[in-house]
Amino acid sequence: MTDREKRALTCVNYLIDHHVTRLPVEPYKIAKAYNIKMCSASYYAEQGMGRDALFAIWGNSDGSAMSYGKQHVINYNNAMPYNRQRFTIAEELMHILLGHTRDKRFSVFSQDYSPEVYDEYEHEAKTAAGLLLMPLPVYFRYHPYRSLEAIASACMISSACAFTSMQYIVKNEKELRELSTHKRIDCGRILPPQRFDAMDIWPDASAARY
Amino acid sequence: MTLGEYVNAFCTEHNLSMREFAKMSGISHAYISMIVNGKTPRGNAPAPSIDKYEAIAGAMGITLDQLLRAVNDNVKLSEGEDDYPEITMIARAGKKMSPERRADMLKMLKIAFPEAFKDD
Repeated sequence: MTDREKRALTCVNYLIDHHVTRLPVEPYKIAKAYNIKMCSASYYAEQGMGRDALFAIWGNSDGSAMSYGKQHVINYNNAMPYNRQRFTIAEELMHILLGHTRDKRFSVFSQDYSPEVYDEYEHEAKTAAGLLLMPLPVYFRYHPYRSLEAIASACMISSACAFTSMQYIVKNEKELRELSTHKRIDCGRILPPQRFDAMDIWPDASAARY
Repeated sequence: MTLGEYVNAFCTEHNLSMREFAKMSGISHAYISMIVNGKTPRGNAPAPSIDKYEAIAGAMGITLDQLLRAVNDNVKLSEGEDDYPEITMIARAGKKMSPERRADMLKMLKIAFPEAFKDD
């Protein structure tokens, strides 16, 4: 893990320690705790700003983050599926908290992205968002005793997102186990040991499954 | 002599830590440390406002005028553009944008940051 990755993980651990008690993690509530304003595409539309113009400035149709002085705004497209919106908000939150929005090579204001910096920051924020929405204590507690799909469902993220996070965790497992927060997160109601699951009796199958 | 060097010399002479000097001036320790080191976290030279100079002069027991004469920094007369680097970014980007995109950007900013445009 690079120093930047460790820094991002420290940030995620802090958020989990201070703002997460149960699943699913609610990124909009965390944003609110930091006085970050949330602006949906519908809100802009109500104010007379069309989606096409908005998405052209964002550079995508999911969302963006902006910092102006001490004020921060997360823009998100509320027409997207709910779980996707949650991920977008978490990602944009990480862009703000990791200081990306202050960098003119990334800022939506400059409209002149440096591809290398853009890719690096996107990767960093996406990875951090994945670890925020599927916290390491939850993953380490339940995987591989529950299927990744069940964990993803409890965390309200897509299986693809959970899989990407899992790949990152597997790659850096030793360091992540050492650096992870050990906070106990309530997920009992969401992950009941109810139905038969091959993972329950044959944990090693997880490796073959992916 | 820069303001940072001046503060550092004052602290050394009076056997004060930066934290103690920060407390005396009412400025945060982080900001005083930035002034003394001559670098912001982003690697730029810090540009303290006149208010900060005033607070530092007060802590040193001298007048603002005396402090300004003692240092050769470029002092900002008010909290200006440098405190909002976004303004510079937007202004630069605006020059490269089409008129439509520029209008859209302004519209979006006015919706997202109404406080900043309340006097318009």
